[in-house]
Amino acid sequence: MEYVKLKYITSNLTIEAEVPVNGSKVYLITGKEDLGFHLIGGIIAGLFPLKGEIVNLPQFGALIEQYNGQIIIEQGELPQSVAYIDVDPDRNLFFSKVKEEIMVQLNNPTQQELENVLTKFGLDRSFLERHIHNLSGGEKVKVALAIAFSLDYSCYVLHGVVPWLDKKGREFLKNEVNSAKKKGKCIIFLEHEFSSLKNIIDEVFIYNGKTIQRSEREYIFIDPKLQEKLQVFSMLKLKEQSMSCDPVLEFEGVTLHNYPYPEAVRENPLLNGVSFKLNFGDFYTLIGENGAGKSTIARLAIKVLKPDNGTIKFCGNPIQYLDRRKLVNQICYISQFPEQQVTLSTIGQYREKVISKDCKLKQRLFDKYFQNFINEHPVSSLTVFDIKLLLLITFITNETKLIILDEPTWGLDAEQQFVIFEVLEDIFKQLSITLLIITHNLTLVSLLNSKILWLKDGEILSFENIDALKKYNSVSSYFDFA
Amino acid sequence: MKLKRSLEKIPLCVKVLILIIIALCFFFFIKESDLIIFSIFNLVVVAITGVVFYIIERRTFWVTVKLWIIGTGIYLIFAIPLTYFGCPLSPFIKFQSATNRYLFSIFFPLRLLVIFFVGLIFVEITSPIEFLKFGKIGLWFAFFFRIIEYTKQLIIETMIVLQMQGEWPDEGKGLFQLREARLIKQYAPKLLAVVFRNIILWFPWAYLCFNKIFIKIKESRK
Repeated sequence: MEYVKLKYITSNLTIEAEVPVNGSKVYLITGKEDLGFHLIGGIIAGLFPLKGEIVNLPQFGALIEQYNGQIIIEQGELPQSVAYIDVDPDRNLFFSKVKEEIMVQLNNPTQQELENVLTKFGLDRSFLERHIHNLSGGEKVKVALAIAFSLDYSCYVLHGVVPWLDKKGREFLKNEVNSAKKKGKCIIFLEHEFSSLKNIIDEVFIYNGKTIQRSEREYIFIDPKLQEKLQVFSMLKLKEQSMSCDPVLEFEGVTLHNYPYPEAVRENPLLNGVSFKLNFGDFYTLIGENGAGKSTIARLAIKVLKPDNGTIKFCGNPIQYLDRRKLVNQICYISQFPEQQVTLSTIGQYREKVISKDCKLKQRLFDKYFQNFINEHPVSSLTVFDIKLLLLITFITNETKLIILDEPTWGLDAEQQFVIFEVLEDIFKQLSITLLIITHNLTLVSLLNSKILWLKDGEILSFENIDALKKYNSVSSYFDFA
Repeated sequence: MKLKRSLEKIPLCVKVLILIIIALCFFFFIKESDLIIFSIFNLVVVAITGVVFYIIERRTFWVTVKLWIIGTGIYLIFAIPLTYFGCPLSPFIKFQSATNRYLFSIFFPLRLLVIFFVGLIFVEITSPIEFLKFGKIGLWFAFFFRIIEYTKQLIIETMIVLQMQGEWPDEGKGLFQLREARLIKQYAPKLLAVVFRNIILWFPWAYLCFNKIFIKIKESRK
C-alpha cells in the first residue's frame, strides 16, 4: 500500500500523519474536529504551506500562520494533482456566477460541456446563469463536486461534503466516486457524518488530534454517548401543551416567488402556499432537498424576508407588526454559515455583552464554556464549533421562545455535537422553548423524536415522527433511512 | 433583466472606456463659467444612471442611496461652514462668486453619486472572467474586481445580520423614521468594520484560489 508519511508543524500545532494515497481506493479519515483536521485536506492537496507572494506580506502574517507551516515528507510523495473540496461551501467557488466558475476551471468549455458538468449532480442548465451567492449551501457543494469530477485528477479530497447533500446528491456522489475509483483514482473523505458512505469506503483512518492512523476496529456510525445525549434531550419536550396557547410560529399560505435568485424567473414559486404551526415547547425538524427553501423559511420567520403572499404569525401576532427588538429577544437563530453572524471581534467584547444582559443562564453558560479564553482572543480564530456555541449562548435571553438551528451538526465531530446538545439541554431545563432544526441528518431527526416538516415542491407536509414519514408514498426516493 | 443582459454584452474595452470618461468627467471641473451647465449635466447623468441602476439591481440601489445620504449629511455639516468662510473648495479652481461656491459645494455629493452609480453598474454588468484574456495583469484585475463584488455582497449580508440582531432597520424602513435613522447612524461604523474584517479574513483564501487558477491557466497555455 502507498502512504505518505508527513509532519506539518506550525507554532501551535504539529500533525503527524500516514496518509493513504493508493489509487482505486476510497478512504475515510474521521475523528477529532480541530484545526489539524481542518488542515489535513489542504496539506494532502498541496495547498499548504502557501506558496507565492502573499507569504512575504507581513500584514497577513497572523492570518496565514496556520496555512504556512513547515512540511516534512518522511516517506512517499503527495499526489501530483488533487481536487480539494473544503467543508465550507463558500470556499470552493470563487467567481460570481456558476457559468464563470466552470468556464475558468474547465478552460473555456463548449455550451454542451458546460451543461454536462452540471448534469453530473442533477443540476439543470438554469444554474449556469445563477449567482453563486444565491445558491443554497447544498447547491454550492454540488456545483463544486460537479466541477471537480469533470476534471482529471489523480486524487480527490472531499472534506465534510456529505452533510450538505440530499439523498439525490449523495447518490450522484457515490456514482462519481465509484467511477473515479474504477479509473484508478484515490478518493479521500474527511467526514464526521458518514453513515451514507458505508458501502463505498474501503478503509478507515482515525485522527486523534495529533496523528492519523489506520483503524483496525469496526468503525462506529453513531457515537453511543451522543446517541444517549440526544435521547435524554428528546425527553425535554413539554409533554402537555396548553391548548389555549397560540402556536409559537404559524405560516398561513405563504408564497414566495423568485427568492433567492432574482436573476431568473422560476417556473413554480419557491414556496407555494406554505402552511404549518409550531406548538409551544415542542421539537421540530425541517427537511427537504437542496435548494427546496428550508433556510428561506427560517429567514421569513425572523423577518429578514417578506413573503409575496400569506401571513406569518409569531405567538399569535402578525410578524410584520412586531417590533424588531422584541423579535430578537424571542427568537434565537443560528444560520448555516455562523461565521457570518459574528459582528464583534474579540471574546472580551462578547463577554461584556453577556455581563450587561440580565440573564443568569447566559452568564453561567458563557463562564462554563469560554472561561479559558482570554478577553483579547480574536473571534476570527475560533473553530466552527466555538462560533456555533458562542452564538447560541449569546443569543439566548430570558424571553426566548423559539430556537432555530440551521444545519447545526455540519463541521462538528460527535463530541462537539454532544456539547451543543448539552448546552441545549441546559437551556431547555430552564426555559420553555420550541426548537426548529433544519437538517439533512435523519439519524438526528430520529433520535430527537421530533415532529417533521418536509418541504416538498414548495409545500409543507407534516409528520408526527420519523415512523410516520417512512410510511409516506415514495419517501425512499427522497431520503436515505439507512 | 433584458436591460442587464444587453449591457452585459457590451465589449469590456467599451465598458472600461465609459467608466473612465465618466470618472474623469466628474473628478475634474474645468471653469467657473461652466458651472451651471456642468450642474445640469450632473443632474441628468445622475437621473439616467440612477434609473438604470435601479432597474438592474434594486437592492444595492437603495443601500447605495442610504449610505450616500448619510455621507452627504456628514459632508454638509463640514462643507457649509467652510464654504461660508471662503475656504478653497477645489485645487483646480478659485471661485469668484459666493453663489457658485455654494452651488459647487452642494453639487459635490451628486458628483460622487454619479461615480458610485457608474462604478456599481460596471460591476453589475461585467464578469471578472472577462479580464482573464489579458494574462497575469488580467488575472490581478479579475482578483481586484472580485474583491469589489465580494465587498458589495458582504455589505448586504452584514446588513441582514445586523438586522437580525436589531442593529439595522428592516427593509423598507429607513432614514426618514427617527429610530431607524438613529440605528443607521449608530451602527454604520460597525457595518463597515465587520465588512472590512471579513474581507481581510477572506483575502488569504481568495488569493490561494486565484494563485491556483493562475498556475492552471499558465500550464494550459504552455
